[in-house]
Amino acid sequence: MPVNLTCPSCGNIINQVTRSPQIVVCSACNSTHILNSGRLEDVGKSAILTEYPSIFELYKSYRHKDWKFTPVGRVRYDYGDGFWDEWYVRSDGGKESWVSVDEGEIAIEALAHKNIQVPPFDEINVGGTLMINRIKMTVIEKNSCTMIGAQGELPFKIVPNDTYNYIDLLGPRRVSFTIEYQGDVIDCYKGVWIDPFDITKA
Amino acid sequence: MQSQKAAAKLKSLKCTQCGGAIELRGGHNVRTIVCQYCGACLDSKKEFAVLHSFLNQKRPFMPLKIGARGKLKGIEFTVIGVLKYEQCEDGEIYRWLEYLLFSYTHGYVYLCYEDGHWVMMHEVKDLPETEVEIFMPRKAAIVVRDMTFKVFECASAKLSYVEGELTWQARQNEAISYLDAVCPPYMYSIEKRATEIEYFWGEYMSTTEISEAFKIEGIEPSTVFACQPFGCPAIIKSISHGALVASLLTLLIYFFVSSSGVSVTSQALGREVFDDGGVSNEFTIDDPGKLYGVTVSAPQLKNAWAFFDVRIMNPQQTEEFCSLPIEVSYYEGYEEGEHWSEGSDEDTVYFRVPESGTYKLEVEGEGNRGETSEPDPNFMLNTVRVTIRKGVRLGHHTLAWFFIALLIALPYFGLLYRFENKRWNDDDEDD
Repeated sequence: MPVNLTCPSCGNIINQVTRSPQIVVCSACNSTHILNSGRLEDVGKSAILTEYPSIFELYKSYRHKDWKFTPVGRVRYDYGDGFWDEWYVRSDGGKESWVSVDEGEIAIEALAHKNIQVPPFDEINVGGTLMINRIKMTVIEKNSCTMIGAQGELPFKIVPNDTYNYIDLLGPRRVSFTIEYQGDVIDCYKGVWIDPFDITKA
Repeated sequence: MQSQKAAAKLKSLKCTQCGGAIELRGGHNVRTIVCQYCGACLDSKKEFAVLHSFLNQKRPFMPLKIGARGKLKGIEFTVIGVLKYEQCEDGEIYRWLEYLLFSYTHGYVYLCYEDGHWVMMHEVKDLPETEVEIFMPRKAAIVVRDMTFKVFECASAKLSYVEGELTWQARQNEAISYLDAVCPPYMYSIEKRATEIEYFWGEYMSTTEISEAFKIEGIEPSTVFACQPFGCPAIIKSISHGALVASLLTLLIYFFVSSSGVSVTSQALGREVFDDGGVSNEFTIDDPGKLYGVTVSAPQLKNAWAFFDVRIMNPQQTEEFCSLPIEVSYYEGYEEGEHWSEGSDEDTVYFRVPESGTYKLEVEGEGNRGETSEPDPNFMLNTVRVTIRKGVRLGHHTLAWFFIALLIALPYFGLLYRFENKRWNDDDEDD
């Protein structure tokens, strides 16, 4: 059930949409807050995201085929050559997932394996292969990224300028996986590419 | 569909080889920029260092200029680059342009231009549901996104001109192999380069759409393009399909309802028909509500005509209920060794009588041989057979509706056939 929260920094009323966000970024003053027992605690300022025209806007509803969803949060990562946005979206049924957007390349992602057993980042080579879910996947990108800003509600604590390594894998029938190396934690996300021309406003 | 909070910013720089002005309009996924003045291919990720140069490039006719902006499918795009491909087949060279367009919301799309036709294509991750080779037989089926495409063309082409921004590093005369499959207005293409294979989804765009989007003067194409839809208003298409179904249904109904009836009597009359008139035996009509048919056949009629006045009388031959004129003619012969014939030695007319009862037929005949229209008093036939059938159902109205419905449907399907023939046969002729 969505509730109204008051920003401790500026008094702005924040309408909480997701069930249990850990982080809420105030749209008025850009303060980042941890949600603790129904109250917001200020943890500092988040970088203001440079507004480029985007296919999504926060709190507006969209549809991809039968799936209706609403972006409620966004994290932007810089990967050197550019950036991509990870939109935290809430579907009509209340399920939350991620949609990554990089200049028209859009993928819906969900956590597939927490702490997956894969070789260390340094031992991975672009063009090499990894077996995931008994599927032979090819490494197509090996890079690091930096979190450069956030908006809205997010399910985890964000640390501006936090950097982590990742690899992108592509398999048969365009199955894709992203493996994130964040310290000792190695998470694996399974992705499904979608066509931006199939997305409409709901 | 797009959140256009901030307009795209135009960045300018100078070519690191010739110093010519270069404007950047694409996003961060642009990898190279080819200078329009010197053909230098600059690396956008390494301070615009010169990677190589496209030598002796001759700028082709370009209906769209780099930097042009327009809305396609409600999305704002900017033309950021252009490529020209050439394909040589049987000594003929086919050329087309591929414009690279950029949108902050939808990324990169190609707008292909060939012979006045436009197709908007973008890369997709959808692979065909069946095994597909880059070279497949023409019209082979490929299923993508639950749609069946027909292979239109498999060929190789080379890159002959590049200008502006690209998301990859192009090489002069670089070869590509491609497969184009069509399901109008959609096109599905597979492009294979030396190091990669890519899949594209395309949709035919009308000249009007492009002209209005980019405010340019469009050239109406004179040919039919591979994925060009048959441009017929939906209402006419629906009416024609409906009419075709209706015509088939009425034909079915015609075969179901029409009937030649059951025989009541069949009698042979002699030569008296051509003297004072022949009279048949009595026959009974028990259901005056039904339609009856009387068939007069003259099996000995050959290269002659005969006219019969068939009268339906009461048994006493005092009252005539109806008079039915029947004319038959049958001619045959040989012409240049070929046998020919025309006409028939029998004909049927239909009648109803006011009440059930016993009736007789009175048949009077005349005729002549050859083509003389005057009857010959000496003309006669040995046998004239009269047959009466009960419960005849003609179905003429149903048949008329069949033809009306068919006439409504035919122009659309005729034009569609011609259009499809042009789509596929134009190329067959080239083959």
